[in-house]
Amino acid sequence: MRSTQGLAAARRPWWRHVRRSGPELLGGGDVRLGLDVVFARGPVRSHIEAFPGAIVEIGDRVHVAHGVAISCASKITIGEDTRLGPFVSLLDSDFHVAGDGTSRPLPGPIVIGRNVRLGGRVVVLRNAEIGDDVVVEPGSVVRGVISPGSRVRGIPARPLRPSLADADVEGWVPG
Amino acid sequence: MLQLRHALIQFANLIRSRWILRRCDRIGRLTRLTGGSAIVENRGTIEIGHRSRLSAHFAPIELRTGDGGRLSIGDRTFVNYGVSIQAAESVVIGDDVDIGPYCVISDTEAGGLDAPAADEPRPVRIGNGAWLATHVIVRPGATIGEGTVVAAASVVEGELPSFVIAAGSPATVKRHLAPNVATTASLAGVDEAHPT
Repeated sequence: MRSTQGLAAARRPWWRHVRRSGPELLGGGDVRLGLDVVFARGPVRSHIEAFPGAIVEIGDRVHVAHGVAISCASKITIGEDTRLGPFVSLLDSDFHVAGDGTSRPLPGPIVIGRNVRLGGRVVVLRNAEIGDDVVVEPGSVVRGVISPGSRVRGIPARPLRPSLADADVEGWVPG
Repeated sequence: MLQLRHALIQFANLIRSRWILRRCDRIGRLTRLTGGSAIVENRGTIEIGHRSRLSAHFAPIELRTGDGGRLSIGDRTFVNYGVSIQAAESVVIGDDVDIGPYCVISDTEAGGLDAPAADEPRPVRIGNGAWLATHVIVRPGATIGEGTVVAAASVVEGELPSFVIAAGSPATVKRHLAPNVATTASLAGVDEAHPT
């Protein structure tokens, strides 16, 4: 909610400023936010769509960049200190069944651990489990289980190297 | 009373979408744009079939044609938010196609309509009943067959056959689909190492 938008932001009254910086919430499900969760301002607002009966749990100190789409039909859990880059999509349902236009797909919960970094435009698909301290490189597609501490990239995301050097964590830039 | 209100909202929305899409050459019956807005820049022809839905709830949809370009969207097609479709020469999208959020479909490499002469536009075709998942990029000259599913964040180059699941960058065929048969296959990012 800090003013970084220059003149356009200066012309906007403070209440508009506050309102526009939050995510758009839709659907009848539960959204549970931890303490000090940040939704960054940007050209596109983030949104959280929780369908009736769905639960979105976001832990403490999670940083969410702009344009993030969280679409939840069952359950999405994001651990503490995790950072999501711009235009990340968390989709726990496919919304389609391949080769069949009529039936409805089953959703699968997404679990994202603590201190995870998702780069820009990462897509996380249903049934994905991302362990603690994982770094997902920008543009990757995550499905299945990602073991803790690994660095992954690609479609689908595969480990780049097993360990996580502390220096890389410090120098990480979203996007 | 509630139904009447709903009908009125639907009607108002229909008028609103006509106004936003007024630069299109043809808009079919009951074709509508919901949520936000659309950026329409038409220097050629833009045609949208009947009962198509454009859902611009979270980011605007972009439709652009260059001089003499042709952008054709079929019937009952669904276009999700943030999609950008640019046709310097020809982009043809069939019926019952679903296009996911933030997809980019362009027949020129740079994506601009005033492209340099070296950037020769190559027509793009997307067959009936195809499904493009989220963040898919369709490159110039690409052809996507009927009923084909393109997995999330894939980049489509060249030709994809009909009734397959394709994934990756560039997208390759991962699995074949029986047309109109129920399957529980996970759609996006299908591969052998991570079976569902």
